[in-house]
Amino acid sequence: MTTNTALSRAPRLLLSSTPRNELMFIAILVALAMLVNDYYLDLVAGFLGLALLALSLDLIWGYAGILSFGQATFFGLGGYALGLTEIHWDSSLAPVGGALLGVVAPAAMAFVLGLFVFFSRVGLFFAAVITLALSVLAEQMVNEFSGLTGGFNGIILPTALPFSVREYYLLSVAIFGVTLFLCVTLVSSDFGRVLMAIRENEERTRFLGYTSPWMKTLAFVVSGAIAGVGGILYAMQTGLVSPSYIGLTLSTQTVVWVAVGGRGTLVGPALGALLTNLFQHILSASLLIYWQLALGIALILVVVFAPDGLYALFLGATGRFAPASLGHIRVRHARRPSTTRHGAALETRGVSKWFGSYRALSDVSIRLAPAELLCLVGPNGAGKSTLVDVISARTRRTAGEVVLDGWHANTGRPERVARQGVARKFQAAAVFDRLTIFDNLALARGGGRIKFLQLIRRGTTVDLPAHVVALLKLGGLLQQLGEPASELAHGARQVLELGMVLAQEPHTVLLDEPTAGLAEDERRQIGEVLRRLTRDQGTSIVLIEHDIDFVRRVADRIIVLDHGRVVAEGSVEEVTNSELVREIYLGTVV
Amino acid sequence: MKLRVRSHWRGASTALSIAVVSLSMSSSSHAQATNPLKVGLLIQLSGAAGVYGAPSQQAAELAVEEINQSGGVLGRKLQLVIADDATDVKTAGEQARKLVNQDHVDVLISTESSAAREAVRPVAKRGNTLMIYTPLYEGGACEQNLFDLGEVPQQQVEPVIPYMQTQYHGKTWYIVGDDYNWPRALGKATRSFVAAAEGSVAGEDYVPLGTSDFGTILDKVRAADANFVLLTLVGSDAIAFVKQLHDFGLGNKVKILSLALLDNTLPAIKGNTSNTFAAFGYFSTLDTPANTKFIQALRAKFGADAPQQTTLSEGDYDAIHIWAQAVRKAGTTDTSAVVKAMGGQTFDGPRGTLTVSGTTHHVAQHIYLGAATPDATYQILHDFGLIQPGPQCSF
Amino acid sequence: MIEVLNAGYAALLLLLIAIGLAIIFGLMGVVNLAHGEFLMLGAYGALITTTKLGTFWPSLITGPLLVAAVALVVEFVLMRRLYQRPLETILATWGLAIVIRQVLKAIAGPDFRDVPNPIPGSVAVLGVEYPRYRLAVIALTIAIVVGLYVLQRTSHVGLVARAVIQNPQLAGTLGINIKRVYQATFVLGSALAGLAGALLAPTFNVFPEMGPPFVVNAFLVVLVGGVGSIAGLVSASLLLGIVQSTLSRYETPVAGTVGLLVLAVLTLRFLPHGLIRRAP
Repeated sequence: MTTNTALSRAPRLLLSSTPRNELMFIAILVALAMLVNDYYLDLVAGFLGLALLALSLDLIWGYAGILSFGQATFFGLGGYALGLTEIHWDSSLAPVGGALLGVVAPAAMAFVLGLFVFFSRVGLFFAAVITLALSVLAEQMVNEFSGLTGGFNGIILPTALPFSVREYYLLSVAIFGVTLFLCVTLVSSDFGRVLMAIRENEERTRFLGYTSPWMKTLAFVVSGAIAGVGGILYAMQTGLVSPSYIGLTLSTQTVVWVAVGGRGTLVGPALGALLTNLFQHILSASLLIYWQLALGIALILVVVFAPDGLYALFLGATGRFAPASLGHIRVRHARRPSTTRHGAALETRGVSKWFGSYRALSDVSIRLAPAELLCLVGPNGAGKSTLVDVISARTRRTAGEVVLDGWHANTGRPERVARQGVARKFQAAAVFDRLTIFDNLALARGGGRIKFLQLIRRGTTVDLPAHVVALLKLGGLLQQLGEPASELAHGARQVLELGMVLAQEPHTVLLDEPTAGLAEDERRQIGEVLRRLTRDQGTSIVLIEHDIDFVRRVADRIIVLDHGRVVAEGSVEEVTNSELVREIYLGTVV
Repeated sequence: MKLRVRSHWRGASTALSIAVVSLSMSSSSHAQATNPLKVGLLIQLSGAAGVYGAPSQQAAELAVEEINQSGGVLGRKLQLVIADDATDVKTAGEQARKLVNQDHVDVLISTESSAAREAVRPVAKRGNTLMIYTPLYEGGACEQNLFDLGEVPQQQVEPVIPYMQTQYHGKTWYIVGDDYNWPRALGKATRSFVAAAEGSVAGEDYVPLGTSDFGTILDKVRAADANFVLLTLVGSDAIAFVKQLHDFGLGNKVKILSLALLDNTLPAIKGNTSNTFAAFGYFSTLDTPANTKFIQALRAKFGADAPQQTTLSEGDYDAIHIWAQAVRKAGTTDTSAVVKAMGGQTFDGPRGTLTVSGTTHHVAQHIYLGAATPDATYQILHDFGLIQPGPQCSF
Repeated sequence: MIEVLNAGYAALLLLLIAIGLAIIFGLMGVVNLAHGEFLMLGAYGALITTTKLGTFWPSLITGPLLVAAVALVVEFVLMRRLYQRPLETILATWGLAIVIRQVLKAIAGPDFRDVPNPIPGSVAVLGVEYPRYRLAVIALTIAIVVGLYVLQRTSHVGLVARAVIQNPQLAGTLGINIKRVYQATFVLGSALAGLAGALLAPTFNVFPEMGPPFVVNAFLVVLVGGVGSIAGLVSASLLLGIVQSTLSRYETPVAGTVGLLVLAVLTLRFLPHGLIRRAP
C-alpha cells in the first residue's frame, strides 16, 4: 500500500528540464547554413566530426570521471572501417555498411578495453595512462600493417558524396544534433545519475549495490560508438583516413578541447572543439608562426583561471553538470526483512587479515543474531574497521569464512554484498557531493540495478519507508532536497548517509562511528533511531563506536577487539565492568 | 531579478557574436582590382619538418617576382598565397580547402610529406584545381590534374647504386630508414636495383620517427659487414645516425648514401661528414650558370644569410615557372587545358633541364651525386645525366 | 657484449630522464609534460656553452643551471597553483611545453644544431668498438643515480623528501615548509632533465622539437617503476630498456617500441602499484 504524500514543497528548479542551451546550439548551427558561404560550411561540417569526438570524451570524463587519452583510437577506427569497407566491398551499399561497421567496431573495441581496464584495481589515473599507451600502440599498428591500412599515407575514400556542400552540412548538423540529444538523454537518465555518482565516489556507488565496472564499460561503449560516428563524419568530409586520425596527438587535443570547453556540459566540449579548430584555421593564415604559441598560452590561462572551462563561465555558477534532479518523496511501508531464515544475520568464522607481515585480524569469530545491535569496541588500530571491511568485501580476507544470512560471501566485489542485504555506513560520511540530496536518496533506493528504460528516463519519485523519512525529517533534509550534498553541515551529512544506508532496506547494517562529530542531542536521536530499527524493522546492526555512554544506551551485546583479536564478549555490564577492558582502554596501574 | 538580467545579457551577447562571426565567414575573398593569377603554395613552415619550409617560400617568391617583372602571364600578375600545413595531415587538408575553396587559387603547389599530399589530393581534385607536388617521393601518385616534379626511386636510386658499387668497390648494402611509406617504398625499390647491379642487401631496418639512439642498428650494420648504408632516415634521425656511425668507429668502413639528408641540415653533422653521400636532382652547390644566377638573386632579395636551398625548396621555383609556361601555351587558366599544355614542357633552371611528360605526369631530370664536405656543403662528384622517371602513371 | 652495452645504455638513458619526472611526480603529484622541453633547454645550454667556451664539459653544470633558473620562474608563475592536482598539471604543462617550444623556435630558429662529441672515437671493449662518449655517459649516469640514492637514504634532505612523499599533510604539521620543498623539488627534477639533455646533446643534435619523443617512454618508466622508489625506477628502466633494445636488435626497432608499450600496459594493469609493491 502506498500513500502518495508529497513531503517536499513544489520544487523551485534551478534549471529547466528542457535542454534550452542544446537546442539553441543546434539552432545556431542550422542558421549558419543560411548565413555563411560554402567554404566555411564545408569546414564546419568536418569540425562537427571533431565535436562528436569531444562529446564522446565528455560523456565518460565529464560525467563518469574516466579520463581517456585514447578517444581518437575509436574516432580513427570509425573512419578506417568506413574507408576499408568502401574499398573492399563492391556495392552501392558499401558506404552504409561502412558507416555501420564504423559504429560497431569502435563500440566493440571499447567493450574489450572496458573489460580490461575497469574490472581491476587499476585506479583512474593509471587507467588514463593505459589508454594513452594504447593510443600510441594503435597508431604504430596502423603504420605497421600498411598493406591493410595504407600505412602512413592513409586511404583515400573512393566514394564521393552525392550531396552539395550545404546539404552535407545540414546532414552533419542533423547527425550531430541527434547524437547530442542522445547524450543529453543518457546523462539525464537514471543511468546518467549512476555515472555521475561513480564520478563523485565510486566506492560509495558500489556499496549501494551498483556494479560500477559494468556501468563504466557501458558508458565507454557508448562513448566509443559516438567517437566512431565522429570519425565517419570527418573521414567523409576530408575524403581520406590517415593514421593521424587515430594517434596520440588527436587524443590529447580532444582532452584539451574538453578541458577548455568545460567538462560535464556536453555543449562546452563541442563548442571547444569547433571554436578551437575554427580559430586555429583562421589565425594560422595571419599569425603564421605565432598561433601555436597563442594556443599554448591560452591553454595555460584556462587551466589556471577557468578550470571548469569557458562554457561553464558562460553559464555562470549553475549548470556545471547535467540538470540536478529533484522530485518527490513518497512514503510507503517498509519491506519486512527476513533474517530468521538461517539463524544468524551475520557470522564470521576464524577470519584473519594480514597486510604483508602485519596481522590486522587474527582468527576473529563473531555472530550477529537477527534484530540484535552488536557494538564493536576497542582501541585504535584494534582492527574494528578492518573487520567491517572484510565483512563488506571492501578488502579480501586472508583466511576464514564470512556468512551473511546463510550466504557464504566469497567475493571481492562490495556490490554483491550490498545486494545481499548488508549495507554499510562509512566513518567519514560518504555521500555524492555534487549531486542533490534527492539524487543521493534515489541512488540509494535504486537497488544497484539499472533497467533498460532507465537508460533514457529518470524517475522523479522515490519511495521511502516511513522510518527513513522520519530520520530525514530529523536532519531537516526534506526541506533541502534540491541542494547539493556538499552544502550540508557535518551532522546533516551523517544523517543523509545513514538515511541512504537505511533506504537500501538491508537486513543487516554495518555502521562505522555514526555519531562521530555529532552534538549530544543528535547522538541521542541517532541512538533512538537505531534501537527502533532493531525493534520495529528487525534489522541487525553492527556498530563500531568509541563513545561508551552511547554504547551503553543502545547495545544488546558488545565485542571487544584488541590487536586484531576478540578479547571480550558479552552484555554491556559484563564487558564494561571487566578488568581486561579497563586495562585496554586505560592502561595497567603499575 | 538578477537572474533574468543576466540571461538577457547572455542572449544578447550570443546573438551579437554569432552575427559578427557569420558576417566574417560569409564574405568571399575580396575582389582584386587587378585580378591576379593566384598561385597557392602549401608548405611546411612549422612542426617537425618546419626547417624545410622557409627556403621554399623564398624560392617561390623569387619565381613570382621574376615572372611578374617580365610581364606576368596572359597579361596578369601572379599573386602568391602561402599556407602552412604545420607538418600535420589534418591541417594540410584544411589549408588545402582554404586555398582551393576560399582563395580559389589557379594552381596548388604542394611541398609536403606524402601523407599530407594524400590529404590534399582529393581537395584539389574536387575543386578541379591543378596540383603540382614537388618533393622527392616514392612514385605512383597519379591523378588527372596532378603533376609530380620530384625525384622518384628510378632516378634517385637506380643509376646511383651501380655507380657507387663500382666506384667504391663494394657490393653489400644495409638499408636504414624511418618507419613510414616513403622509406619502405624506397627500400623495396632499392632491393630490386641492388639485385640488378649484382649487389646484395644484408639487412633492412625501420625505426620510429624521433629515434635518437641507433646503437643496436649500428651493431647490426657492423655485424653484417656492410660496405654501404642506404639511408632513408629523415631530419634529426638522419643526423643522429651519421654522427653515431662515426662514434662507433664505422666512419671509415661504411659509406652512407643518403636520400633525404638535405643541404641545409649538413651543418649539424659538421665533424662527421666523411664518407657521406647524397643523390638528388638539385644541390645548392651546383656549379651551373643557372644555379649561380638563382642563388645570387636569392641573396640579393633576402640577404646573404638566406637559408640554404635544397632540392625540396628549389622545386617550387621550377614548378611556378613551368606552370607559367604551360598557362601561356594554353592561353587560358582552364585546368584541363593547362594540364594538356603541361605535357612536353621543358625548363632550363637551376637544376638543369627538366622535361614534363604528358603521359606519366612526372619529370625527367638530371641526377647528381654529392659528397658532404667538412665545411657543411655538398661537393658534386658526378652528373648522371637526364634520367627518366619510369612508368609512374599512364594518361 | 655490445648488446649488453647497448641495452645498458638504453636503460640508463631512460632512467636518467625518468628520475627527474619521478621526483616531481612522487613528491608533488605534478605530471610535468614539459619535462622533454626542460631536457631540450639543457641541450641548448650545452650548445651555447660549447660554442662560447669551446669546450663541452662545463655544460654539465651550465645546462642544469639554465634549466633550474627557468624552472624557478615556471614554479613561481604556474606550478604552485596546481599542486596535488594531477589532471590540471597535465593540461597546464602540455600548454607550457608548447609555449617553451615556440619561444625557443622564435629565439634560436628551427635548424638542427650540432654539439661536437668531446671525446670522439671508440674504444675496444672485449673485441668490439664502442664509443668512448657512450661509456662516459654510462659511468656518469650510474654515478648520478647512486648519488641520488645515497642522498635520499642518508641525508636530512632525503629524509624530508621521503616524509613529504608519504604524507604531505603530516610533514607540514611537523614544521616542514612544504612550499619550499615543492619549489626545490620542481627545480631539482627539472635540472635533472636539463642534465640529461646536456649529456645527450653530443650524441645527436639540438633543435626545438627534440623533447617529446623522450617524455612518453620516461613517463611509462615512472609509472611502471612505482613512485617514490629509486629501486623501482631502476628495475623499470632495466626491464623496459632491455626489452626495447633486445627486440630492436633481434627483431625490428618497431617491435622494440611496441614491446615496451605492451609490457608497460600489462604491468600497469596487473601491478598497479608498480614493480616494487608497497603495502596498500
